[in-house]
Amino acid sequence: MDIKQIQDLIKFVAKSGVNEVAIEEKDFKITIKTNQEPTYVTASIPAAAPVIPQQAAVSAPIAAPTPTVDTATAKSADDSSKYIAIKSPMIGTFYRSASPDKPSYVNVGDEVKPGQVVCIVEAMKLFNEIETEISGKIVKVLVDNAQPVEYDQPLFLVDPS
Amino acid sequence: MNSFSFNATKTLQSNTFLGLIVGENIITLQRVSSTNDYLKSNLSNSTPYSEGTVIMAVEQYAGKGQAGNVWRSEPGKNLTCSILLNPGFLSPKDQFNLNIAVSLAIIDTLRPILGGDLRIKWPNDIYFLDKKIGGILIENILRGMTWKHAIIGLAINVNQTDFDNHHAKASSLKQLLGRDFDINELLSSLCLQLSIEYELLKHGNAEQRPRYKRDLYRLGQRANFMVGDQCKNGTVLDISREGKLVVDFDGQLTEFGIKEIAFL
Repeated sequence: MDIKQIQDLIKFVAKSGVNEVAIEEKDFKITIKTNQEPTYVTASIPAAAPVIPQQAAVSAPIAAPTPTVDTATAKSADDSSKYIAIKSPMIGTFYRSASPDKPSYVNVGDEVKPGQVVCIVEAMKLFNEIETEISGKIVKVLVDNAQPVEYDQPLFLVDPS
Repeated sequence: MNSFSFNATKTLQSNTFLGLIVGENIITLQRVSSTNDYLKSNLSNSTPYSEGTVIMAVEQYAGKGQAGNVWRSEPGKNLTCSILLNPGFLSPKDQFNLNIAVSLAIIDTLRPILGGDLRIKWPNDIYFLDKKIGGILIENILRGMTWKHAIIGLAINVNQTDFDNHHAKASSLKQLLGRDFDINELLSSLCLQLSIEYELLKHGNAEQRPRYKRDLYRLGQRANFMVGDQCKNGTVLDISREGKLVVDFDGQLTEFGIKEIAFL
């Protein structure tokens, strides 16, 4: 995102009358707050420069319905407190299915019960089928397939109600 | 039990001191896709296998090899089996230690036959010089953070002498030594060695890791490796706590996970 685009975004946010806009993409994050007299901007833009203008172009229109998005985000943040995370018991690589040609063990919306396998974490050629201890509905898959995971990292959010 | 020194333990033939006798229950199947899958699916159907149960296949037609490759084994010619262990005493974070214990059990089974040139090729293959003669594939079942079951799949090439081109590096006891071996005898020797190593593992034996390291393929030798798309010359120095390979590239030490480096 270049300075011109950031300026345009600030103007846009100021006109929209919202207090805060946060846009976060893969390698790009910007937060614009307008609740105080001075408008200030914090942005961190990592090295992947060539990709960013395109993302910015995508981001700007997304900002348009901000007031509603903003409240929706706040609401879901409140809700997530009652969710329980299924965490990784080890450092390794997260797999959602037994092999690339097999379907995912679980998807968002699925009901799970204790003892059901939800994923594989592979570490140094030891393959670990992870069974859930809790029952409920999968509301979010927090890690992409074949990505590295840390010890204790949340992998899924489960709604136990 | 703690008073056993490592040497005394390894030479003791009586296994009365062992907490678990691997192989007291051996189930032999004539033909199965994979002994690991068989054991796993029966466990998930609540079959009450006792710890140390061995599932042995005369013919395993879809055995799992490295990186999902299917390992072709001629019926009745090799030792292909899966062993059930319940290592709940170990934190899942330390599970490479189980890989070490199993590797040592195989090495100690084969060393009286093959001698000093037997090596463990990191992380889970058994080599004689530059020939692969066996492999290990461990699949675990965890409930949340707790380690419930380990399914130790292993294959040792025994009396097979034809290996197709995909397995140019494969060899067998018969190919190396020119005579047939009794697979059941090998299995009972392996079961005893695994019972011992598992007991040592339970007691946090400090010698297993150095023993694994001593038998590591190409330890301390300069060799070429593929790192990403680059060929690099370095020396294997060590195994990290979680099982990563530590390689010295002209004074620069780097730790590698499994897909990050390949032996050339």
